[in-house]
Amino acid sequence: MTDKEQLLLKYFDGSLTADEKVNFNQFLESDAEFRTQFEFEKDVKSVVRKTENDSLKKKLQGFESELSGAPSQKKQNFWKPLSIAASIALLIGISWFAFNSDVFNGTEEMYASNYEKYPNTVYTITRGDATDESLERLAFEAYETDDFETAITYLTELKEKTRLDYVDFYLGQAYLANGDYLKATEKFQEIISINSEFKDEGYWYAALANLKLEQEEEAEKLLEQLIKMGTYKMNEAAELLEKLN
Amino acid sequence: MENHSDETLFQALKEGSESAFKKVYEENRELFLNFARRYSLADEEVLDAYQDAYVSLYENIQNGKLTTLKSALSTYLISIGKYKIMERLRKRNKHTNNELLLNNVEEIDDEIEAFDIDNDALSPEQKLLKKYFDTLGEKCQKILKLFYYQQYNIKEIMAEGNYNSENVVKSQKSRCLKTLKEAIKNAPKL
Repeated sequence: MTDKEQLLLKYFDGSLTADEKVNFNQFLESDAEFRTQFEFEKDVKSVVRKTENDSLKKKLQGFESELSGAPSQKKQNFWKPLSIAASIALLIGISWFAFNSDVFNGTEEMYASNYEKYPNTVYTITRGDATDESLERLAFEAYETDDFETAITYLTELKEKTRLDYVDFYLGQAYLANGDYLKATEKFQEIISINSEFKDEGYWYAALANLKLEQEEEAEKLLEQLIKMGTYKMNEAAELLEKLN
Repeated sequence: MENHSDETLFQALKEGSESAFKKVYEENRELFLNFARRYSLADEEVLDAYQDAYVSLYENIQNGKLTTLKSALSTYLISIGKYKIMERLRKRNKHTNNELLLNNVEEIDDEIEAFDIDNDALSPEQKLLKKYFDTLGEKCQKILKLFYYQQYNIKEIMAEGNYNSENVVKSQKSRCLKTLKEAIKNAPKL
């Protein structure tokens, strides 16, 4: 067994010492044969892991079909008449509700069925790094835990210090979630006007905020714009627009 | 912190118990699905993420990256699950340019950093390799699984597979790799 083989063994069983790691990296850089062997074994590792994980996942999917299949089948005979009666009652209930919501089709409901908080997709709250007390971290921590007032405070402060346009977008989000629809609208309008990378999302959320403010015409315009961009929430926008008309 | 039964289940998972594998999956399912409700993912996607997280936790118990429980099993599942959820959100939202958003910083997140949690799709070359891997004899598959998935060292494989010496293990493993390599070499070009 050569040193190189030994190093590879230790790499894959996770027992390389710091010195050996240095050695390992040197070989990786200077020795093409070593590198090829390493890449090959890495591929084998991926394949082995994938094979194993896929087969475990299949097992879990099997549990799922047991969970959903078995118990209901047992109960079915006994409950069948009852469940039919229940379904009819439910059907009546649903159609009544559907009918009514169609009649009153308030902007309130349109908002409620379309609104969801935009997830934090910009800032990583670094794992375990409790020493990071940056404004950004504080702001997004608050945002993620639905503490919107705190989020607004920090985001506003952050905005004074940076020019990142996503700060405005999330500020708008925080206002919206906090029920301050006017301020939310302003923020989203700003996002739209500066051609931010969140522009399309801006249209959508501005439209929702306008619904809340009962500015239906404005909402319609925004939705039309969004559909024109053709990138984000196209179907939802079209549906909503139809309802508004 | 972990309770007694979590510790017992953890040990059982380590030993590869089938019943523990099912029990832990079922016991934490609701909790996870409830937790994931805050993200805007479809139900099937959430379930898929749970299964990926579960498979991943199991892998890291099997490969020895998780040796002692520092939190409840459910905490591990949720922490890994956040990555899995993030992967899905990232695929859908073009703006997700960063890793993971954590709702609160768990003490185990550092630990999870060292876990193998990626389960990426295979490259075309790797897919070909998998095709040949699947046709390998049982002995080869087993030794490669012990080495690359469970990350056993040669000595441990020797004990597990009743081999006579470490050298036998090493040469057996080399032979299996060589078979794969030859198969790839002789394969029709991609």
